[in-house]
Amino acid sequence: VRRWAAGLGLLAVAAIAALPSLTASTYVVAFLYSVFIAAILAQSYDWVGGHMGYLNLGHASFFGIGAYTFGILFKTGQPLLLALLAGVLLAALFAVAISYPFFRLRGAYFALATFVPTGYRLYHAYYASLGLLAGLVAATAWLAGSRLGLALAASAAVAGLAGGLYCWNLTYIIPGTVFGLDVAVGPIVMAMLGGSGTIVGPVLGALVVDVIREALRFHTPHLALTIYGGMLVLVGLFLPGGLAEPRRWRRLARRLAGGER
Amino acid sequence: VQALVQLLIGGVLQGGIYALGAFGLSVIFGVLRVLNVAHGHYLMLGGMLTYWLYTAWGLPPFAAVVVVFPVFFVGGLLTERLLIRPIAGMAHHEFLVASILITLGLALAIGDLTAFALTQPEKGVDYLLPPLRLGGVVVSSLRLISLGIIVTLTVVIHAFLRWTFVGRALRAVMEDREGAMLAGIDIQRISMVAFGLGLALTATAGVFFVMLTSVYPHMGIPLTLRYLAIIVLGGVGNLPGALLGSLVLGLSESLVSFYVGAEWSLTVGFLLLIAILLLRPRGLLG
Repeated sequence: VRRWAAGLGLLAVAAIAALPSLTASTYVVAFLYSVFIAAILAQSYDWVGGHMGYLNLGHASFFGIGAYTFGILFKTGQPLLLALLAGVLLAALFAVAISYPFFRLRGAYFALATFVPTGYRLYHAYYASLGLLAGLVAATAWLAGSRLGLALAASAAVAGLAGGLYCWNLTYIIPGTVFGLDVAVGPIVMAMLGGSGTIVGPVLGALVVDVIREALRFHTPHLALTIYGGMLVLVGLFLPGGLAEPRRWRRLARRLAGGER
Repeated sequence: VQALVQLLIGGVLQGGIYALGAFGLSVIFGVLRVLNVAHGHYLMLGGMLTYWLYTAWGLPPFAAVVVVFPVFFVGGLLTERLLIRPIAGMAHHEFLVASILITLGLALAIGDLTAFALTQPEKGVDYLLPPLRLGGVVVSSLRLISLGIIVTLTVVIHAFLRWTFVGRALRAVMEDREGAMLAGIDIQRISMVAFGLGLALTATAGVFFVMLTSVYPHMGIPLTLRYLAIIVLGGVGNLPGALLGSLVLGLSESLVSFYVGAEWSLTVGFLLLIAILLLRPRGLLG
């Protein structure tokens, strides 16, 4: 089964990779690009959020750090790869630095504390996080060896990379888009919707959410968020394990068919 | 002195307003283990209802408390019954995911529908009373009355939790769920009451929001996060802690926005939170 899955995955990747040369529409490419970024974020969020069970509301801050580091370096004429790498490193370092104090916290405490770095002022949010980092790094770098610390660092590195990639395609970024609530909540919703703690769940969730959002934007510009919110409620009520969990689907089908509880 | 007194009063008042909502969020989390993401949106709805009562019926905002509290208490009972009860039997992680998806979905829908229904989405009530002079200091009587009502409400809630059967059952469930169940407490009923009380309190905070500043449809989620900060600051499930956390955040916001700059008030509040959590990982009174 695993070989099948890997083969199918490779095929899908090849098909998607070939897509830009097959279609002339930049719209499709741009849309998929945004799905990729979202999926990378959801997947990397889930390393800590799903597989280790910590609700990390601050994932967006890694994304934002990556985006800003990249943006500032790239704009001042540094080579592309160096700028990307710097973003990744800084995001990971930041994660290592915060992992020591934050993993001591449990449950809701953790969820809250990790939200902190999400700010809204252009350079302020960036430097505030950086200042925090500098203060904490010296005392806590040795904790990088812990399993949780490593997972968070890896998850942050990927998010930082996503941030850099995201920024690359834009002429400017503002803190609202890279540190904002949408980025903070988006990956969590996507991972949960697709199936938190499963392998393909977060990617599936990102695809579904982005397709739905795009479709809603076209067809019902007004109540799009209401419909989206209503769908989240329905998934929460009936498919809490996420879309990628077949057992739930079967149970739901049986319930609808037989009316049995 | 004038400025400092104003700032302190403003800070304590802001803290008191935060406390109502944070208290509600803490009760809901303590009893149901649900992080109610839509909490801030109910505050906004409470403010909107106050606005409507004032403009359409001429009801003074202070009197609106009497309407807003029961309306949202019933709303909370219904929300719990329709949206939370069905998932109550789920395993821990599934329940967490489901409760977040449901309350987040609810929040998005409430914000969006409110924005859709209003042509001018930001609402504030222009309700003025002559200011008071105490010694050499001018104090807004509106703020003083608000503070008085909030303090009274806090005392009443405290008495309710301490001396009534339902209130004591509520505290028992927060402290030890299994134990409370074994003692014969009806958890489902207590859960409904907790949700009703929580929403009624945050909606009541909306009355003061609409009077002293303004409310708008998408204010909800940032506000919920601030509430969350407060209850973590004070200690999750710890009600006096929520009050203390509110005062700390309210005062720091008030002082920082005057002496440093308004855009820094949130950052400083959160840095304060990190510092406190590093020293006391379970919150101030946790």
